[in-house]
Amino acid sequence: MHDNLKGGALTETTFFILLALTKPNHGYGIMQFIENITNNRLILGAGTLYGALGALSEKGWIEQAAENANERKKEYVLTKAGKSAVYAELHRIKEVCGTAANILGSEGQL
Amino acid sequence: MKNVFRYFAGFVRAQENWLNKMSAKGWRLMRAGISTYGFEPCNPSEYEYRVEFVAHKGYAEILDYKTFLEEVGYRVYHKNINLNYSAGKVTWRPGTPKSAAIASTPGAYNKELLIIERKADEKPFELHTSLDDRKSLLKTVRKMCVSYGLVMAALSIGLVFANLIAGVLALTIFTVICGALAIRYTKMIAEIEKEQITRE
Repeated sequence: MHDNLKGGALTETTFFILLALTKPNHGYGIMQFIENITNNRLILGAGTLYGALGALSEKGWIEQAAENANERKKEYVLTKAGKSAVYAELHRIKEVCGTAANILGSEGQL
Repeated sequence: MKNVFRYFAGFVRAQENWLNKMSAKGWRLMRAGISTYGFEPCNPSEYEYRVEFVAHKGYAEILDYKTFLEEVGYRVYHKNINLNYSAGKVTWRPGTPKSAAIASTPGAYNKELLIIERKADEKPFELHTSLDDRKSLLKTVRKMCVSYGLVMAALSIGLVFANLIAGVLALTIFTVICGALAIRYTKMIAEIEKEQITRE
């Protein structure tokens, strides 16, 4: 359920999966990356990750990485479109931070 | 190997709870048949189990999902709970997308549950961690439950002509069980939708 169809915000799950795939990575690697980088705040279930990887592949934001002879697990990596989406989201988040900081005044100092 | 007879039908949580109880007593699942399970000794609570309903997925997708889970480091068992209606070589499974509904290939309609095992650790063992994902799964399970209930109700009405009491009994049982489950799932979906007003 999303309040604003044009808001364009990505879910946290999506955003962190995209960040995990700036370099080729596989399922377990993505889960570990997200847990570590968020200090265990965000623990991604394997089922949710599987679904998200399918959806992001269909969207054309990620693709299967070239086969790595040493790595038998399936790896994914960001596409050009995926990189654009990540940067767009970063820009949106910065804008939101700036707006919130202005409104909250000195109490909003980060 | 210790063999235990149990049949949980489509009651996924009951099966999950039972497997975790067995693990707490020091038994690790080694085999999951249609109505029997094989266990071998392990340290108490060494392993944790989750059971996932996958009957709505096509066979190729189930296999792909199983491979993905194994690459994550889980052990996965495929289990049949017999939700199909077979006539000769063609099997129909109500409530599934077209690709899964009519399956005439051996193996393509056998496995409706995945039993997923991991070594216990202090972090929570959840396969579906986003509200959208959980809601989607609940809606799928509810649809299958309702479809299954309707088919069994129709068959029961047919049975009434052969044996009134048996037919009425069958109709009541299926309507009550499937109806109760559908209501429970609807409540769970509504709770998630309420939560989604403020959170992802």
